[in-house]
Amino acid sequence: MVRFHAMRLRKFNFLMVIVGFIFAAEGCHQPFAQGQALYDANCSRCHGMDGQGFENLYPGILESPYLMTAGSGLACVIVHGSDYLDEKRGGPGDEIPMPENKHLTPVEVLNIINYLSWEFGSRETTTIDQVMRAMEGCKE
Amino acid sequence: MRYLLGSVVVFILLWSCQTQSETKLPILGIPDITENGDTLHHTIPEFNFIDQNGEPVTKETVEGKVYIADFFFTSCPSICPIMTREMKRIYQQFEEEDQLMFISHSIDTRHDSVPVLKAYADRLNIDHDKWKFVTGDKSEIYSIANDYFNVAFEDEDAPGGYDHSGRFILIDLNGHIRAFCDGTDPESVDVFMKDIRKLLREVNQNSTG
Repeated sequence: MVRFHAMRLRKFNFLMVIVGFIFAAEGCHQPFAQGQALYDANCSRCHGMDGQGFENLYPGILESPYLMTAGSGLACVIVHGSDYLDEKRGGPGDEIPMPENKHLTPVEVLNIINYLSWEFGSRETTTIDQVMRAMEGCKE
Repeated sequence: MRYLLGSVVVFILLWSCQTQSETKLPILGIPDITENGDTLHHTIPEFNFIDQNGEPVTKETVEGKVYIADFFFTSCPSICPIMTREMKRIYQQFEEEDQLMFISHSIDTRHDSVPVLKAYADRLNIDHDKWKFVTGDKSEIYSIANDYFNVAFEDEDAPGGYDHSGRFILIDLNGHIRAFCDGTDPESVDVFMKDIRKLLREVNQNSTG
């Protein structure tokens, strides 16, 4: 009887270790899977899978002054690319123009923003309301 | 001991045979057979383009050099960023190799002027004598793309307005195509780099003996 009990306990311990591993693995995983998939598909060719950019040709995500002002500016940069940047600074810049991404829905833009903030920024999360308001005001 | 020495000698002889008889890269493309029965291999025709510094780029520019050709445009949002990354990777692998050049043809002759190409090359941190970004007569670029096994055409529906293939082409001293790869696929580019090494060895062997 005692032996049986000990065995059950050992089994239970073993199970707990497995469960622990699963939780730990879950913790490593960033929570914005769709944002990451969209980043990989739409942005990573230039900005890099690791967000490091490429030579002086394409800027890294970390260098972006829009990264920390989560929501407002970043949504417009993602959707309108250089068109938005040109309007902000009142003329074309000398960078390789960033293309627009008008095919992205507000929810997709939100997921990209939250992924970028989690991976490269302050980890502050943005809401869908903020993104929708921002996107309405991009071209004013 | 004598046997050992003998086998070492045989081994060295075999080994030297091996390196000399390395299989050469094939000459690609459909050859023409003349009336006399001679084979005329597919050859890149004469060309006349302008590079990022406004200098002419012709067959004379690549005389005595092996070169890699590709087709792109600077504002291309789809495959070009990956192609440029891969081409830069090749460039870095062969940075010390004086006999290798690069010609990237812009298929967006409207937007990619000489200053635009210059800015692009500057941002890529490359030697302008070694890697030429060229523009020129649109029909000449589109037509030579076919000679390089590439397609290039304007297409409103394509990202950035142009459609083109992302092949890298390796050309030897005689203007013959010796290898190609998919410039958007790092594994394909890895194999391509071995082909480049092979061709450079062939060229060096021919020049020394």
